[in-house]
Amino acid sequence: LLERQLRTKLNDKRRQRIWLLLPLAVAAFVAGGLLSLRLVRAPSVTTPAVPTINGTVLPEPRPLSPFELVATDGSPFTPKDFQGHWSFVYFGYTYCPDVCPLTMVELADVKQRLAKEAPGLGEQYYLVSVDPARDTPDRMREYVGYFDPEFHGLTGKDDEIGKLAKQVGAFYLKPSGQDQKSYVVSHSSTITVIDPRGRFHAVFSAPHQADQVAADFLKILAHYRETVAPKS
Amino acid sequence: MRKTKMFRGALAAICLTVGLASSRAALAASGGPAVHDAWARATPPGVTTGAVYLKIVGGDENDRLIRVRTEAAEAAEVHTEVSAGGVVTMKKLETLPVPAGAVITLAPGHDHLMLMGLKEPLRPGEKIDVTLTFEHAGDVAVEVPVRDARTSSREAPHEHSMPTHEGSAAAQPSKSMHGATEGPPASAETSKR
Repeated sequence: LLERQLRTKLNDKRRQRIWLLLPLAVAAFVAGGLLSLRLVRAPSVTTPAVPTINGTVLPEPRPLSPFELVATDGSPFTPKDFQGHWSFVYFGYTYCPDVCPLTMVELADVKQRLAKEAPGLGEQYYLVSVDPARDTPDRMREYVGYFDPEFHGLTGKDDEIGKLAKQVGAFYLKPSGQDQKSYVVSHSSTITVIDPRGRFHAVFSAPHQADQVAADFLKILAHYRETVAPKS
Repeated sequence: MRKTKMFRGALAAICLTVGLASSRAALAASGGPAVHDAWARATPPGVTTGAVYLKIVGGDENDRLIRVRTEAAEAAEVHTEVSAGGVVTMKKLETLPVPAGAVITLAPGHDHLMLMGLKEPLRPGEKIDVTLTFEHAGDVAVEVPVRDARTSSREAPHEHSMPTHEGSAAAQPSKSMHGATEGPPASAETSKR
C-alpha cells in the first residue's frame, strides 16, 4: 500500500496519464460489463468505482488485526473500538512543533465542516502517538483537547502502536544520536480513514487542507453508502 | 483544480514575499540581513517544544545564519522539513545560507526555528526575544509575537503551497512580477538592482 501511496503521490505526471486513460478504462469496463451481462444474463448491479481522492481509497477495505493501545483515560483500545463510526487517524506526537499541530488544526476544521455537511455522522478523530516514551495518556489528553474537546488520543507500547501503523501504511522512526530529552521523530503525515466496520478504508496524502479532506471524505461516504451499507 | 489553486497560491506568495523583500530592503540601509514577519506558534498545554516562523531578507552581501538563541528556551535550532513519500523528517541545519537580496521563508509545514526546552508555555499575545547570529552581519535581535494558530491554514496564505527557499534566483523576477501585481511603491524596486 505504501508503495501505491508513494506512486500516486510522487508521480503527478503518471496520475495525469491515468486520467487520460480513465475514459478508456471506463469504456472497457462498460463494454466488459455489457459483454458479461450478455453472456451470463445476470441482472447484476455494477459496483461504482472507488472515488478518486487526494490519497488512496482501498478497492477492498482491510479489517484490522489485533493491537492494544491505551486511550487517554488509561483504558485499553482495540480494533473493535474503531467499529460503529467513521474514524480519522493521524500518527504524530505532542513534542512535534510544526506538522502535527498543523494537521490537528486541519482535522478540527474537517470536523466542523462535516458537522454541517454530514450532520449526525458521529465520526471520531484520533491522534496516535509515535513517541510513547514521552506521550503519556495524560499528556495526550491535554494535547488533543487543545485542538478539539472531542478528539481522542491513543498511546501505548511501542510495538503495539507499530502493529496498527504497519497495517495502515504509516511509518515512524526516531533518528538515532539525538538528545534524550528533546529528540524529534520522523513520521508519515497521512490521515488514515477507518470505516464503521473497523476496516482500513482510505488514506489521505499530505499536505492536508480541510476543505479537500472533507470533500474527499464525502465522496468516500457516498460511495460507501451506495455499495457497502445496503448489504449490512 | 487543486493544482491550479496551489499554483496560484504559490504565485501569490512569491509575489508577496518578493514585494515585501524589495520594499523593506530599501529601508534597511545598513546592508545586513533583515528579519521580518516573525511569529511563534502558541504551544498546546504541556508541550515544551515550539516553532518560530519568519522571513529573512538577505543584505548587500552573501551571509549565513550560524546561530539562534533565545532566553525562552534551552536551545533553538534551524529545522528544515523534508517530506518524502509522505514521511516528514525534520533536519537540523547547522547553517542557513542567506544570499544577498534573497528571501528565505520559514513557514508552517516547511521550515522553522525549533525551540526546545521552553521555560514557559508560549501564550498568545506574549512576545519572546530571539537573537539570530549571522556570520558577517553579527547579531540581529527579533521580537517574536506569539500567536494562537488554531485556525485553518486556508485563512493563512503562507501555508503548504509555498516554496521555502526562494534563493536569489527566485527573487530576481521581482520586477516583472511587480508589474503584474499591486505591489509596494515603485521606489522600492529600484533600490537594490
